[in-house]
Amino acid sequence: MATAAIDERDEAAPHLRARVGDAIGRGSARVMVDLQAVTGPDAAGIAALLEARRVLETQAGGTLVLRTNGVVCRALRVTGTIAAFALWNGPGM
Amino acid sequence: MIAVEPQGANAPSDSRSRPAEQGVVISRGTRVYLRTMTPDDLPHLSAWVDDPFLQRMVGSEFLQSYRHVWDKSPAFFEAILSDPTQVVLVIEAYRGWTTPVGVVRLFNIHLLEGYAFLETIVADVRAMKRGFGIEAGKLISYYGVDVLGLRRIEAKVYEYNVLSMNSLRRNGFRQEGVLRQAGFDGERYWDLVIFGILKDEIEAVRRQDKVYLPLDPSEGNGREPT
Repeated sequence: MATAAIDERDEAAPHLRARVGDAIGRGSARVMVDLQAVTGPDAAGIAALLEARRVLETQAGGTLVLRTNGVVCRALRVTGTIAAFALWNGPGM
Repeated sequence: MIAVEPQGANAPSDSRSRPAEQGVVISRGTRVYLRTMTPDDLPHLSAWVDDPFLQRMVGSEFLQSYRHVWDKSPAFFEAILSDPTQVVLVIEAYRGWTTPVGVVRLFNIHLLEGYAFLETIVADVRAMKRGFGIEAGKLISYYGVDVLGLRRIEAKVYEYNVLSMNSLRRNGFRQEGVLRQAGFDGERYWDLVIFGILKDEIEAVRRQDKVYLPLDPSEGNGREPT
């Protein structure tokens, strides 16, 4: 599984698009996006996550998993998008 | 080559040079550009919320929230910045304008369903009827489609706000219905007119966009390019 860590708010959306694109280009169908360092998810960032999910779902076995924190979870709930993602609740959550 | 850019006939005559750009510029048009809000914008918001003309014409929940819910607190800025259900951008005009002319936002953004609502506030009365609001609405609609993945944008207008209705129509919005007596101005009830535009219609507007030449006389005279 390829992992993309997002940590800079202003660059999150384009960074995410680029990283997921790279992962798919390398043949990774399962991608985890580490959002634990994100402090202020905005609409553009969540839209980028949804777009990444759509792209991955076109791949055989494609899966997008989010590693989130409380702020990100709240933003996903507020926007009604939390059910659209698989959330990883592994160690450290 | 040095181009001399004439100011509009009624543009502010302030001879000071334009201050350095603040925030992050999200989109640039030929008359205005859109940038992210900064704390320095709060004094402008504070003045706008007290403008009875804006209140009557726009009835902005955004401005009302700043005044009545947040009591003009600076914390409003952080709240806006961290609200993933809306995108608020400040409208800055080129050529002779030293302060923001308004704010434009997409709100009630439904990312899964792909729709949102548009609100455009041109607050500076000198900036009205110059096409600034039309272009600001157009630019944020492109942003909505390109960045947020929207496929539909809606707007509500008071029945007496002909200027806003014409602006929406010029951007390709279609009137979709009327909410009868849904607005109240403190004295009586008014109809709200509902406008909407779909993604392919926004793209059609974008295809019609012209590239303006430096000597194009449309800037500042209030006329739309033909």
